[in-house]
Amino acid sequence: MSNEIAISTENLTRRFGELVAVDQVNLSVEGGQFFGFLGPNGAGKSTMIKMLTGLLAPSSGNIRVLGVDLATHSVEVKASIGVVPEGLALFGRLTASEYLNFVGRMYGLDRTTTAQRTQELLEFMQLTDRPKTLVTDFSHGMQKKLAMAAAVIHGPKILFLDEPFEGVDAIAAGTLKAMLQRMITRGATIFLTSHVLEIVERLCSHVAIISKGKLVAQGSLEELRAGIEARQGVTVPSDGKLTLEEIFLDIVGGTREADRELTWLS
Amino acid sequence: MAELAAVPGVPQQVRLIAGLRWMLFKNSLRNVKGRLEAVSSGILWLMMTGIVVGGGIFFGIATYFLVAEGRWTWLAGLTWIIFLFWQIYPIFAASVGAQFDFANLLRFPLRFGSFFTLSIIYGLFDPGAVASMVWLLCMWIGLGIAKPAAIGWALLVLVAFAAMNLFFARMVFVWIERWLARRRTREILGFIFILIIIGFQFIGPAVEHFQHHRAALQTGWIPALLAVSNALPPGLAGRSLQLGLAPSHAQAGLSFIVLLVYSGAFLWLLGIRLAAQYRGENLSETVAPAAIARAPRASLPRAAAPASPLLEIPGVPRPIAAVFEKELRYAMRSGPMLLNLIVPVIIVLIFGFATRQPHKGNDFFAHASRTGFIFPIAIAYTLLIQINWVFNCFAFDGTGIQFFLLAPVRFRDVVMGKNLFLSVVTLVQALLVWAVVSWFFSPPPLVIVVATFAALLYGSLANFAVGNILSVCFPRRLEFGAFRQKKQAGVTMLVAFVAQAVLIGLGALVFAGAHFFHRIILAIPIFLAFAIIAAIGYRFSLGRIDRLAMSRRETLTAELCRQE
Repeated sequence: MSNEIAISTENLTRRFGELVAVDQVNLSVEGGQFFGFLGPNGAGKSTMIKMLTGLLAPSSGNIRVLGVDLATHSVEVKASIGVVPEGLALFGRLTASEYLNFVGRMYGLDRTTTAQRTQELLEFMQLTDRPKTLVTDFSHGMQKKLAMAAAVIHGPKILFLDEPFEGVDAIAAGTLKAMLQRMITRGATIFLTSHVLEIVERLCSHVAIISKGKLVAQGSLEELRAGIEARQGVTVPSDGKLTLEEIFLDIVGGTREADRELTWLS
Repeated sequence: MAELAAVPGVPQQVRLIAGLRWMLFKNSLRNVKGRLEAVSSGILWLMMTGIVVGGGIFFGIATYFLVAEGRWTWLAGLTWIIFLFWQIYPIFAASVGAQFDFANLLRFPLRFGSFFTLSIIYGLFDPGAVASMVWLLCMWIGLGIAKPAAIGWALLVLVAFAAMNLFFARMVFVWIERWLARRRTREILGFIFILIIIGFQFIGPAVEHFQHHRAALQTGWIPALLAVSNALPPGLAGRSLQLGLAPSHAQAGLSFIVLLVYSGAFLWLLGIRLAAQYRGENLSETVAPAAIARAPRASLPRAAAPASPLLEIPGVPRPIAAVFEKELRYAMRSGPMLLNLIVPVIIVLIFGFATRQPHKGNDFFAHASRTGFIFPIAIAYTLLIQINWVFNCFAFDGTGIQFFLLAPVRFRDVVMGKNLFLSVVTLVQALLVWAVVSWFFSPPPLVIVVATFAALLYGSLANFAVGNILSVCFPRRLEFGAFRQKKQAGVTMLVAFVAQAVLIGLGALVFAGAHFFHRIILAIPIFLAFAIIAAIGYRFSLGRIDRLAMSRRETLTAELCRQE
């Protein structure tokens, strides 16, 4: 699947009344990429991922996933992607095992495969010690692991993750990262949003940055770094490498806000 | 260090909260849905106003006649009615009143006194409290006209009674809120609540029973019950009024003092909970993180233990069967849902209890039970109690709605899975009702049974046709067992009410017509014709549901994934 276009958008726009949350975005993600989608709060990240996964209708523009138009072939597209959305898409009154069984069947897996993968995923995610506990009684981290398990049960070619590591402890995060990297080595594409730039820098090969609804940067980390370093007046750190945080702040202009001072605060 | 702002006083805080409520309401009118909600709520409020005014007239006139004719002991009956309404109405009224989580205020610099006062003042604006206070005012006016000399004492008693009600309602609410904070206790409370509601339906038959067994009022447990009533706040208020009119000042004063002691006790219990809330009590039900298990192995074992068995329904597509199974699991874990299954059976028993009295030979239900029409009546009730499940079918899915939108299935399959489950529930209920009717009375005539099933088919299909559209257009997140904080969408309530009135009215008309012409069999083709029309409507609504769900997906996710 590598080098084929996995996700592409053309002039993708979403308006909420007067507000243009996503403005004419042309995005291209190649197959096999671990793609980080970044932006400040309210920049349009969640709106974008919701549109890419079919949870939100675009106001205009096109989305193609694995070369298929999402608007006209939504069922086919949904069958080949996995999603961990912001709300986690869980049914609180099922146990973890019942939930995964339900998800497997909704994705068309047969009875045996569903049961087998459910068991494997529960063990992998270390969720086997609470077989009778309802999902609603899980901690947030456990719910997130379950949502991740549900997103991969059908073996998706593309995985969309909205803040996958938020609220997850270091051990669980390690488990999830290992799973995601194994998926990448097997040719899957992963598209994630995160506020934790260190994680994105460590995991992702490519990033895009959205600010005020517009796509302001896109490429591999090296390409973005080289682009900034090539500009005049940019101070390159002594170790000779700009971090993703520095790249991000340079592109979205965050340093200016940090310089401000609220004089009435002690 | 910068200078801190002064903490605002209680009046200013009350103004701020009132302003907050107003802004919340104003902002809710920004979109069409909010405006529709406001209009629907307005209509429901008008109906509520009618009840308040009608009740006021009743209480005023009743008090006047009871006092004027010297039947003072009956005043306790009125205070009991007001007490029950004040305490129970908020549970029902959750559907029309906007609720506000009072604990949200704790983040602000409120002193405990202010928090406590605001909590009590907030209770004054509960619709049940407003209606009850209007009725108490009408009682006072009625009493004042009948016996002007007692007006001062009556005012004192009724104000104390109102205060007791206010403290009690707030006290019960904050204690129940504590229990509702945990899922398990919430479900237990939900189950108890529904049992109480069912219990209320026995009051009518019981009252009629004892009206015709007056001897029982003189002996046995009825006098004991009255004695208990007189020891409780509503009875004490009634007794204070009665003895004040007598006049027997010492005894009236004693009853009044006991009423005040009750009020004080409720206030104290309320204070305990509010103090805990003020201290930042955390009622989260989230479990502690699981103990760290072993690290994942490189090679994972195959299914060591079998996962939950999967339901296979022959001839039913896999997604529909999966949704059916999910609905079944949800229902099995819900006390209210399970109880919903047997409520029609209980209703039949109530009918039976009411109609087995010797004096009841000619009334409507006795006639219905003799002729077998008790069966369609109970089935009509079955349709009524399923409104929540049919007209807001995603209510209990919460964030699971995202999964339905993300999964590679047609939305119509999801809806059909839900409809299939409710159809099975309805069928089981109908069979149970038939069995109980046959056992308790006599088996209803076959022609009535067939006509009733035809009517059930038409009613269910019509309800699904309308309910599916409403579920997508006006979804509202609800939780099993949580009554007060949640409300159904106003539009849904209104449409459901009208739809049930039309469906059941039409059904009753057909049965009445067929009965009038002594040709019950005529009802069968008529209901089947209705069922065909309803099936066309159902098919039409299913045909539109995918497109509708796609166009309404933002509303669906926004409403159902909302964190309460």
